[in-house]
Order: sequence, then structure tokens, then C-alpha cells
Amino acid sequence: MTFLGIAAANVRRRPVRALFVVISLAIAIATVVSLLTVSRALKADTEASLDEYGANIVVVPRSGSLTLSYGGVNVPAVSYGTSEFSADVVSAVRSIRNAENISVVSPKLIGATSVTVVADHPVPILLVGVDFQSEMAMKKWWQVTGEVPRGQSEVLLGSAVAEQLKKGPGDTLTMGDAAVAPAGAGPDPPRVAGVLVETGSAEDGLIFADLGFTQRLLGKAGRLSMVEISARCNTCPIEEIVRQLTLALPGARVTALKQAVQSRLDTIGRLGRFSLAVAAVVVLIGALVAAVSVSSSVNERTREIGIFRAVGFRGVEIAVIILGEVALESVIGGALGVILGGVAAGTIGTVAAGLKVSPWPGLPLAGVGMALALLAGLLAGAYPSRKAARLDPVDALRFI
Amino acid sequence: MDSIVSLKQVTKQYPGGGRPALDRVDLAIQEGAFVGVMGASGSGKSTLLSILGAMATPTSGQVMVDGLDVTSLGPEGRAVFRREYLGFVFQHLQLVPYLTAIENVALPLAAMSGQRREKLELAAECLARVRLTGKERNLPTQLSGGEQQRVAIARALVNRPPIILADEPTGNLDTDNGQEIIGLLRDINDDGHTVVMVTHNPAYAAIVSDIVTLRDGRIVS
Repeated sequence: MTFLGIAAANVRRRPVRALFVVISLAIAIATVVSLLTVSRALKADTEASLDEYGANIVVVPRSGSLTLSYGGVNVPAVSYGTSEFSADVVSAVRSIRNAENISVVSPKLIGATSVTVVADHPVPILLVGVDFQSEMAMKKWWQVTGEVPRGQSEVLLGSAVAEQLKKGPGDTLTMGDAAVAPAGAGPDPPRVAGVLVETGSAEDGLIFADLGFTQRLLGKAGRLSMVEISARCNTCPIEEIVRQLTLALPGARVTALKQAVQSRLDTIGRLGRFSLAVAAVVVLIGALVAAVSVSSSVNERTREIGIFRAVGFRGVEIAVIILGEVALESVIGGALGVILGGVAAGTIGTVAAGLKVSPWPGLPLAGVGMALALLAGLLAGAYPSRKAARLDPVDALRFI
Repeated sequence: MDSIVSLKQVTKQYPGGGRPALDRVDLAIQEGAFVGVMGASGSGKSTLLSILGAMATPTSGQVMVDGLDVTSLGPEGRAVFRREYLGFVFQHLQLVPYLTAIENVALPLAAMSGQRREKLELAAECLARVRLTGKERNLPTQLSGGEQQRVAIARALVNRPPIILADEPTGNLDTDNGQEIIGLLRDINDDGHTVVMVTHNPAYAAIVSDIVTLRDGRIVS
């Protein structure tokens, strides 16, 4: 017979008495495990979505010239057409060590040109050559009236430009700078495929055209003004990706849009903090319910404690028995909670959030669940066990 | 023969109480004696047993057991003292309900070193001594009142204490079971244990070697 043997015998032979502690802790741990599992799945999903939402790294040529702001990024000397780099930059970007962290690469050529609506009155305009597939993948917030350009001779107008030129889907534009591409030397006049719904940014004042078309129109075949990159930063710090890009592109300036990254991390962080706060409250409630249950059990067991005292158990040994029981119940409750939490996460994740969540929360989370159950149980048992240990033997024996 | 227990001017005054539960009691119990403590209800019998059992401390006076000043011990020291020197038999409801007969008997050995198997063997020997072989795995609810009391006696013996304290051990039993319990206590006393038994039953006066009669907290004979 040992003190823990006595504790185990009580739990084994009076399971109903132990049920309250087991159930309260199982519910608490199940809630924690399901919440954290779903939250983790949501976080991964959100990270994946956010990482494809807009650029967080911009690569531009090194230049000491004047700069033009595009989308909040300073683009060196585009209006002078003096600062571009080779389109080989794209393959260099794709070759860095952490290339798997790069989700979208959107190369651009930006240049000033003109659109002639009324003869001899060309309107100066900023033309941005893009790969529409990459651009649309990166700028998921774009809404287009009409269609997204498909062919090389289709363009997308910013809302302000469309209004200024009074052009819309299906119209044709007369574009080009005679000095750069004399009549007959440039591409065919492009057709307006769609108009960008107002974004409230510099994009409203731009014309987006196919990259190849723009390069031919501006006479800059194989040249790029900038490359926008959307990188997944959850598994690799953005600073590391920037460092690798800087090494790979010695002629370029690589800038991390820290505000965008920070905002994404903040969103994800808030999600995690909210889950932890809810989990903490639930564990606290579980511990309180367990404490009331253990306390009531100790009150009912004054007679037994009197017997323990009579046969010579010291206060600390009685506390070991009480805490041993609570610990055993906590471990059972914790294990049950981990299993139930996993099943709940799998169900909730699929039904409520449309996520595929594994019912096995993983060893670290299962370990955390068990440790939390044990901690909550021991905290719940601390006061009742202390009370039992300090019970006056004469008072306890009055019940005998 | 030497006194194994001696009380000198022991007084116990409960808080808020009028007259003391025990009033300047002097008592010497010889080693190997079978002492019957008698007296009317409220005479101080249970208080005397509590003080002898180091459950309660006297308000004043000294309790010596086997040369040890029990009154100088703190709560934990008194627990260890009970473990080593005393075996208790109470009137009723004295078994731990979720432990089997053999586990109840082995209870005092929990705090002692030794293998579990050895402890259970010792407990089984004690159960055999009170003629309960075959009932080792029974829970208290599966035992009769007399059997429960015999388990309690086996438990009081298992740590081989020099002194057995029994508080109305036959109080809840019929005559036959009561006689059996008294017979067992007599046997235990014959084996050399000092037995102090509180009882109301004057019929047991003939069995004990010494009688202490209490009235209003004082020993009158």
C-alpha cells in the first residue's frame, strides 16, 4: 500500500465521484485543443491567402536619378526611361534558396506614352506593362468592368484614365510616342478589354497593357522597370528573402514592404492571441469547477481523513493522496479532452470553416493539453488538499 | 512492571467550555495491562483517549509514553508517534470504503518502507489472526459489522504497536460479535500489547486487568 496506491484505488473504485473533475477538465481541454487546432488551421489558411494578397517585396533598378511613386513605391526615373533592368531578373528571383517561399512574381515595365483621342492632341499617359495572370493573382482586390485582357493587343484602363479619355470596353486606343515608335513600326492599336473599378490609388491613373506589347511600344524589348513579389513570410523572415534577392540581383534595389508584412503578421497574431485568451478562460473555468468538486469531495471525506490521521499519516501524506487523486483524474480528463478536442476540431473545421483539419492535434498540442489538464487539476486540488492536510484529527474523528 | 503511559496533572479545557473535560488527571498504565476506561457519557472518556492517542493536546500537564514526552511534539511529530506506538479501534465506520479488507489492514504501512508484497503478506497474517482469511479482497460493504470490526483490529495490529486504543469497540455489535471482539483484544493483550479500552459495558469489567472510572473529568477509581 502506498499513498498513490490509495489515491488510485479511490479513483478506480469510485469513478462517479471522480467524474466531475474528469468531465470538467475534459471539456476545458477539448475546448482548448479544438480551438487551437482550428485556429492553427485558420492561421495557415490565412497566411497562405494573405501571402498571395498583394506584394510585400519590390525589386527596382539601382539608380541615383529622380523617382516616380507607383503604388507607394518609388520607381527610379521611369519618366525618363533611363532606368530598367533585364527581364532575366525574373529567373534570378526564382532561383534564390528560399524560392519556395515566393508565391507570385509580377514583372513590370513602366513608361510614359501618349494616347491620341483628338487629332494632334495626344494625352500623356503612364503605361504599365504587366503579365496579367501574375498581376491578377497578386491583386485579388481588383474588380474589372468588362474583361481582363487576354491577348497582347488588349489593355486595361484605370478608372480615371477611362473617364478622361472617354473610352470603355471594346474601344480602340491610338497609342504611342512617334519619337520612340514611329507609325507603322509599333504594335497594332490595342483594344480596351476592361476598365478597372476605382481603387482610390495611383492605379486609377494608369493604363495596364501586356508586358510584351508595352516593351514593343516603348522600344524596350527584354527590359523591366520593376518586379513585384509576393512572398510567404510565415516560414521564412522577409528580411532573409530580401537578403537572398539582394545577393542574387546586384544591380537591383530590393525593398521589403514592411508595413504590408507587419499588417499580415498582426492579423495572424490577433487570431492566435484571441484563441489563447479564450483557451485561458476556458481552462480557468474548468479548474474552478474541478476545485469546487475536489473541495466538496474533501468535505465529504472528513471521516476518511480522520482514519488516515489515526493510523499516523502526516498532513503532507494526506495532501499527496488528495493531489494524487486529482492528478490521476486530470490525466484521464486531459487524455479524453485531447481526443474529444481533435474530433471536434475536425468536425468544426470542416463544417464551420470549410477547412480540412486532422482530428489528431499533433504531439506538441496533445502534450500541452495534458500538461494544462494536470496543471489546472493540481491548482484545483491545492487548496482542498491543504485544508485536508491541516484538518484537526479530533475534529475529523468526531465523524467516527 | 514499568509504566508505559503516564499522565501527570493533565487538564483539557475546550474553548468556550465551562468545566474542563479532564481535570488534573494523574494516571499510570503498566506495560502489558488491559485497562478499561468507564464512566458516564460526558465524563471525559473520549477526551482521555484522544490525549492518550496524541490526537488532542492537553491544556496543561504532561503525557509520557515509553519515556517520550508526547506533549512536546508538534502535529507532524504526533502523527509519526501514532504510527509507531499506537493502534486504534473505533466504534464504527472506521474502514476506508474504497479499500479492500487487506488494503485497509495495510493502511498504516503506507508510510513505511518495504515492498508492497511484503506489506500485503503482513496484512494477510493479521487478517488470518482475526479469522478473516478468504475475505482479503472484500470491500467494507461486503463485510458484516463484526467482520469490519475485526478488520479494524487487524489494522491496529499490523504495525506492531505497543499500545492499542479501543473506543467502544463493541458498541455497534450484537452480543456474539461483541464477545468475539473482546476475545480478540484479550488475545492481543496476552501477546504483550497494552490495551486501553473505553466501554460502557460493565460486563467487561471482569475481563480487563485495570479499571479507570471517570466522573466529571476526574478519575474517581
